Amino acid sequence: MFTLEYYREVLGSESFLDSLVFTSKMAICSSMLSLLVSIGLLFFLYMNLKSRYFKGNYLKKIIESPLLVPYLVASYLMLILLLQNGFISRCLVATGVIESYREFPIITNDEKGIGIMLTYIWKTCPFVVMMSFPVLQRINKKWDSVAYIFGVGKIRFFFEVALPLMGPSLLMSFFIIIAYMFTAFETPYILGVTYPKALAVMAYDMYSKGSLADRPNLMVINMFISLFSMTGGVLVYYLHRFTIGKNQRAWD
Amino acid sequence: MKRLVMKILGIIIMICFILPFGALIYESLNFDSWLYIINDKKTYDASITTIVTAMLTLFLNIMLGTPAANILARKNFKGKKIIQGLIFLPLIIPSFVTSMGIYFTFIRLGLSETLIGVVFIHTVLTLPYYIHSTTIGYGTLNENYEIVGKMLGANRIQRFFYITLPHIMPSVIAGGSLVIIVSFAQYLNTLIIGGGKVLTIPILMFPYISGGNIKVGAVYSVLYIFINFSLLFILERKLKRIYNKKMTGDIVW
Repeated sequence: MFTLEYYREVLGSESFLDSLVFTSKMAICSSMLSLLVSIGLLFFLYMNLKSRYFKGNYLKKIIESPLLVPYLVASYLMLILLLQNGFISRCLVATGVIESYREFPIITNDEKGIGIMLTYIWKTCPFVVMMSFPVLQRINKKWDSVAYIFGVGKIRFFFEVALPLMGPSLLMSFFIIIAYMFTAFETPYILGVTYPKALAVMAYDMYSKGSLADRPNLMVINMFISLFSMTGGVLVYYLHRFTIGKNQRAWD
Repeated sequence: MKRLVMKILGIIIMICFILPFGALIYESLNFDSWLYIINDKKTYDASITTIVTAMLTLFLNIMLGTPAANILARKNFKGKKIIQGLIFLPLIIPSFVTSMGIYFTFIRLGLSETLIGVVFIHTVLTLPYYIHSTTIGYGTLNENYEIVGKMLGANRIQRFFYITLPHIMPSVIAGGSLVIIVSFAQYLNTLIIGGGKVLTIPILMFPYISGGNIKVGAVYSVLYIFINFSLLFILERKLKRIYNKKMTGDIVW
């Protein structure tokens, strides 16, 4: 029998709305911050490309190293790094900056989700950099010289020529990571609090601990999660098609 | 002066990215936890299960994905767009949603809580990566090579193994590496379909990570990263050897 009763029930429940707000807040804040940090990193990589502060490829290799571990391990790494008696706080105690680890702020399993955001930023920045760095490498050497003749410095060149060229790929990776963050499970499960939960954690808890009567509600939540990530996916697809069409005109 | 500032900035950036790994190494330097893990029979079982799952997933990918990539790269037919969309759907819809949905069907088929069921789920999740990579490989292979082979009297199997496969091998290996990475990283899907009975390393280490014994979790993470890297390292070595031997021949773009 077809019924929308469960949709009404889920949309009316406070815990679902709280989760939705929490998840959206996490996803939007961390993806924005991640984008900003990535632009900073790309700027640094661009300066390095021009002036060669670091010889060899190891700067980029190190920045991309978080890509090699899955989210499960990444969340755990952040947990042992940021715990109140974790790595950083113990280092600070050993060097005498703070007297005891109790002075270290609680940033894992906290209400505001700082630990979750830091993990997302650490894990997604390399991805954004990896997606956009090829554009930096492809920028015509002549454009550089032209800009130089007209008295445009490296910094202005980056922000007025390179950044707009990277725009589509930055936007594409932005949608990819925001769609992922809406559906992520491991990070909020390990670093999150019991209330409000992330949507995926809520769905999993209902699945594993709830009774069969909860299943319709669970599937409604799953529908919402799918909706968010499909929206992201569709946006990425059209952006990708748009960039391919535009690229061929711009680079030839 | 500016150079110095930039250098210091670069070093700070690198430290920020490497610090979590430093914390992991620091936490894992604990003799007792290593002893605990080495003496635990589950560790070996889980390592073997993880590798076997990844390998079976890779096998299914090669069997299912290669023909699909062949058709998608070369033929135009009605509804090709729809098929492509369906193949990429697992990337767009979060995987645990589908696993939760399919669980009932898997119980009926007797696939729940079995290794085969887990392999099936991993295959669905990894096929988009494999097909995408192999389609690119097929796109660089001119069909005329195979026609020449046909003219010289090679049959279907010979044509595939002596002409097509050597050419598309690099993209098969690149896709295969992605398959292994993705299959290794699965936690939630393995848990839902495997029901805790199929013990892979992520499943084994999860209780330690989320609130259990942190030191043991660190050792498991090191072990996990090590196995992951060695498998990828072997694949990459293989790829480099193929490129060095120039088995790929002249690529017709």
